[in-house]
Amino acid sequence: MASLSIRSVSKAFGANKVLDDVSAEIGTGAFVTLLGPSGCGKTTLLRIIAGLVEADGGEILMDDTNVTRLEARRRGIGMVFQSHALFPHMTVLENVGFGLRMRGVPRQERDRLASEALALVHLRDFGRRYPQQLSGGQQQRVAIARAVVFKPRVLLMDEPFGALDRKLREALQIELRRMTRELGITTIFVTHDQGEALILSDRIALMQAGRLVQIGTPAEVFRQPQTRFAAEFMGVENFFAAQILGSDADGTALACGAARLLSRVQAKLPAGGGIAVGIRAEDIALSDDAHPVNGTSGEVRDVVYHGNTWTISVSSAMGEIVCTTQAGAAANPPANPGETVQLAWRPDAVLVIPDP
Amino acid sequence: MQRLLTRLAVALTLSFILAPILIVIATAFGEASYVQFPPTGLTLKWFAAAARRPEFQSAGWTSLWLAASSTAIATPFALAAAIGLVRGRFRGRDAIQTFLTSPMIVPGIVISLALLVTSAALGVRSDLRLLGAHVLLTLPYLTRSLIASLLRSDTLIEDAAYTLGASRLQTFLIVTLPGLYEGLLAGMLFALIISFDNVSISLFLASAKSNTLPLAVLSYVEFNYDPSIAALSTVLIVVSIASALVLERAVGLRAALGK
Repeated sequence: MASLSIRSVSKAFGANKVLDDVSAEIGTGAFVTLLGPSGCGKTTLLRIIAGLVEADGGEILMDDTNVTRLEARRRGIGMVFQSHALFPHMTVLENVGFGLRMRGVPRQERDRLASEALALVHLRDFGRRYPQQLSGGQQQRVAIARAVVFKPRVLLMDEPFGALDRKLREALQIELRRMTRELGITTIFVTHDQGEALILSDRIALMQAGRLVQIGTPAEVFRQPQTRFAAEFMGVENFFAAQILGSDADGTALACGAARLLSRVQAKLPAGGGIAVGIRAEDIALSDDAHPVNGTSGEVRDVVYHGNTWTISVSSAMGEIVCTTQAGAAANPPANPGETVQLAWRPDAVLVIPDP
Repeated sequence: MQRLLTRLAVALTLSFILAPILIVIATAFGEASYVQFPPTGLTLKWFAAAARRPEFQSAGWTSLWLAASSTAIATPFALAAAIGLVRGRFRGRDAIQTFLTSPMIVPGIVISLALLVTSAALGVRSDLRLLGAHVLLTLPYLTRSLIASLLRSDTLIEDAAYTLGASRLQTFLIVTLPGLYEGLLAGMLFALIISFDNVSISLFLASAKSNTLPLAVLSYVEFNYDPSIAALSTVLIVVSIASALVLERAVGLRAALGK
């Protein structure tokens, strides 16, 4: 197990700048997710940490030792790839034992350790099969066993569950979480799925166009996105331009056009500054209260049924607002197009986004 | 009705391709001392006669030796070229690839003449120049087949091997090479057949000492027209079909042709 420092790493492929001065500190045993849309540079960063791609600038340190110039094979890093990348002509046991074989571990010891690693991913009896005789989920579990069997100092995972269906993905996420915490292994996990990042991570590093835009605990990134991009990526649908009227320990008063909003978030910004306000659709409710603390009224444009929820689009004085309400057992829509409704939300649902 | 017509067309096409070959095979078993169709009688004496002829014996060994050694020499070069062309990123990559496969496109007679003139100017020994020419002949088939295998192979498994502690050489030998086995086998079989079957290049470059089997057959037919030639052809056909079957069994012809 090792801690990892990423210091000012940059990388360009031709004129295309893929990573732009990325820095992060990852503590021993932490599970960190690199989250971002495709093409944001997260996979390239992972490959630079693994030593498979050379950075143009910057340094990678493991336990304060500079490994920037070290070959991939000498870094002691385990890696799991999206397309499992198992060796097709080797049995499962030989695949898992490969890292040990390269380290000169004798055959018997190697097979014993490989079997133990297979047991860890519930595939003890599959050692003599070939990879193509396994299902996609089983193949990926073999790939995980192969990456952890030699006790790597850091485990890297590049969208390992991206090709699997949702149910299998969720089962493997829970399993992986248990396993990495049990082994106490420093893990960096790449994904574009915010739900996956929230479930797995101790910390989430959100990336956009080659830059690290925010790093924090899942709750921090979810409740306090610092940029409009971060908020959008974490599933915030409604954004409004706003001015800070005043801020104290209890929260922040905001002006959004003619409307007045109250947020629980302390803005830590001077009054008069222009910011953005974000509100999740599920935090906005239809209300009977004509004058809520936070709210507005408007005309219903569209109502869509999603099974568990209804999505209602409302045209209000603050702009277009989307809200979702639980459908429950009721078959009737909570509102109809053309109807005028009152919307309300609690102060802790109002996200203050300093960088709109 | 339409199905019947389709079947008829298929039958006609197949017989157009196969009939001459079948006729040659049939005549090999005839009693007559000239090539006769339909043959009369049934005998194996022409196979024995062909096997006894010293010019066929020596030419047969020459052809086998030539095919085996040119393939053996061309294979490592083709492997290196294919890896460089598929995995490498450098200027002129496409040009080199086209250039390497050009002996498949340039007419054999042109290559033969070019090699004859060049080797005469350089004073290359006649057996060596024939071997060199056959290496050149087989190289594109091997390269093409290996390029196809390499394009199919997953580069991520090489990355995986590096992260697991393998050196570049170990990765190549333990991870990449076993995946190329199909392409390698197919390419080598093709190379053997192409070399063994070649007339035009050998015609220009072979000496009296290094006569190949197709040349021996050609010069024999100029003066004799007995069924021993048909018997020899029959043996060659059987060997060709056998190798095609081996190829199909081992890797599938589709993979072998690089499709």
